[in-house]
Amino acid sequence: MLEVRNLTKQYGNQAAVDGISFTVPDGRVTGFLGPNGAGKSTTMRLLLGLEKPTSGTALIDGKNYRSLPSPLTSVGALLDAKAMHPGRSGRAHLRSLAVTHGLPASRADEVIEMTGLTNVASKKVRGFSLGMGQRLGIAAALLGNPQNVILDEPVNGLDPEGVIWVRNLARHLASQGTSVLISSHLMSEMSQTADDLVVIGRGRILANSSMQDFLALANNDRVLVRTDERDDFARRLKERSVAFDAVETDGLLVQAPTRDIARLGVDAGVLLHEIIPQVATLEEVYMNMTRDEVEYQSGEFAGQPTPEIATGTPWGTTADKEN
Amino acid sequence: MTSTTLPTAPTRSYKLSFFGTLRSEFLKFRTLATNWVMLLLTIAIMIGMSAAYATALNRFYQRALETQAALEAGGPSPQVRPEYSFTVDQVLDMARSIGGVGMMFGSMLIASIAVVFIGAEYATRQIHSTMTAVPRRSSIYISKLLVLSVWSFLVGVISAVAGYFVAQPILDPGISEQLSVGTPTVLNWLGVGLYCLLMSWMGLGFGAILRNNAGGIVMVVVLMFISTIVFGLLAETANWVADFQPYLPINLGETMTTVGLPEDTDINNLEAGIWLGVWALVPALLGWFRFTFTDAKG
Repeated sequence: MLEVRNLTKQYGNQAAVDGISFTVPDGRVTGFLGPNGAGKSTTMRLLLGLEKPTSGTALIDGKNYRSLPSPLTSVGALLDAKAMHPGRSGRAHLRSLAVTHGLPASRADEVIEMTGLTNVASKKVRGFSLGMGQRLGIAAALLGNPQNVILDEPVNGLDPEGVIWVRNLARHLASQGTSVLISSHLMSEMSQTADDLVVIGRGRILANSSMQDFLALANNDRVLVRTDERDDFARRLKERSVAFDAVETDGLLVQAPTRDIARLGVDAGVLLHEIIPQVATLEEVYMNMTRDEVEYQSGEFAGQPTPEIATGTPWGTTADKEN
Repeated sequence: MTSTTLPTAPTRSYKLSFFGTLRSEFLKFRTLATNWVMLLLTIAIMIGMSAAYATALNRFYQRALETQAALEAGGPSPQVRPEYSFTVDQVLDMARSIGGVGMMFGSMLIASIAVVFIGAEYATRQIHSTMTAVPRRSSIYISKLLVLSVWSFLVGVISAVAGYFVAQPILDPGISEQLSVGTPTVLNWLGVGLYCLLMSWMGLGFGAILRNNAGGIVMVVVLMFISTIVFGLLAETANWVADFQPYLPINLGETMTTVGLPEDTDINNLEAGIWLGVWALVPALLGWFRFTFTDAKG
């Protein structure tokens, strides 16, 4: 279990992490989200004792990282890809870590095989691609078969197969009772991997909840309705002062419970051929939440179309194109 | 990465230990090809310098013999610039310490390796892996220091011994026949080893303080060579400058490894070694402080 309490880290006058608290419980995958520069990596470095907090504590199974009797079996960490000397082979790198704890050299070979690096393990790390470096970093994290796993952007640079592997690995570790803290910018990936979410922006916690509760934060009582008699139905909605927006050529986004909309259709004698409650994606909720918190905001492209709510149906995208 | 099943966990309980950390640092040291290349280069340079110096000693020896003969005949001694004028005994003492003449250059390579041994960890972010596995930073630093100490001492001694024996066939038979491997020679070899060891401390210290390969090497060069040149230029300006000169690290290194110092010398071999130890210990301690107590950022 990882526990962060009132953790603050200041660089000069700027607080990279500002009084954050959260827990990563055993047996669950906790997603760690936030824009660039939000303080994710700093938090992870503080957990690993690489930096000293200005105030507050970051504990591993109730202990300070530096006082762990066996760090490698307590925490496995991937901080950045290629945090290793380029002139050494992957196998030598893993052995140099294993030997500190008296782990046998065969354990290094085991994690090499697990991460699919058998063919390149004796080559110098210099020649590794980002994805191979990432795999070697994951191998290092798994070396001590740790009780807690911290992965910073583990799927960065991985091929699709590797992405799925990391997802399965995180799920598998959690099922074995390991606590997993994983940061990623791939929202779709995170929504499939994480049980809980910790969202930070500018060093502060924006959300700390289960994935379900997080998604429920979205204002998702909107329903997509499609009908051939759109204008007619829109008039009916207006009469009852129900809020709605027109989408595409034949759709309406209606702010009302599904059942009420269907009832209205029957009463008005209008055929509604699609009534779909809109479920917010992790990405939408996240973007809404962090819009004001990003450290480095991208400029808007000229003539950028306003993003439309994804309908989740193949027809939606076709209709989009017809527009 | 096709398999999602993990092999069964290591069942025995593993613990972080100092011995493990030491083994790890040794493994890290010997698995870098650069270190082996530098090793060969260091030994080659030191042997080469000994061989070259042997030819110079032969000339000194000839002049010493001529001077001696002239004095015995009661005539004036031949005109030789005083810095190239030695007695036969002095030449013999120089020949006893011939293994160490390349020490100044060889030890620069050793100091560079020591700088890089720690500086490259920051440059490559390997330090994150190292400190995650071993959060007790003093253990890492002391392990690095021990690995470098043993290695640089051995390189120094081996180079000095090899240099000594390579120089023998080049030396004038008049010199080499009077030489035998006795206490002064062995002490010189050990002195060269100690000098190399202390240079590795200096290198490790500056590497840890600056966390930068180039910066660390420059600091060693400044302390060893530039400071000597600057003090040499300023020696006339103040008495204390001239008084301090023998205590500059490079001069202390010379004194420590000199065979046949006069009895009434200001600094004897042992004292020179101790003062040089202070020069090396200060950066090593400052480096330990920076390494252990400040954030691990490159």
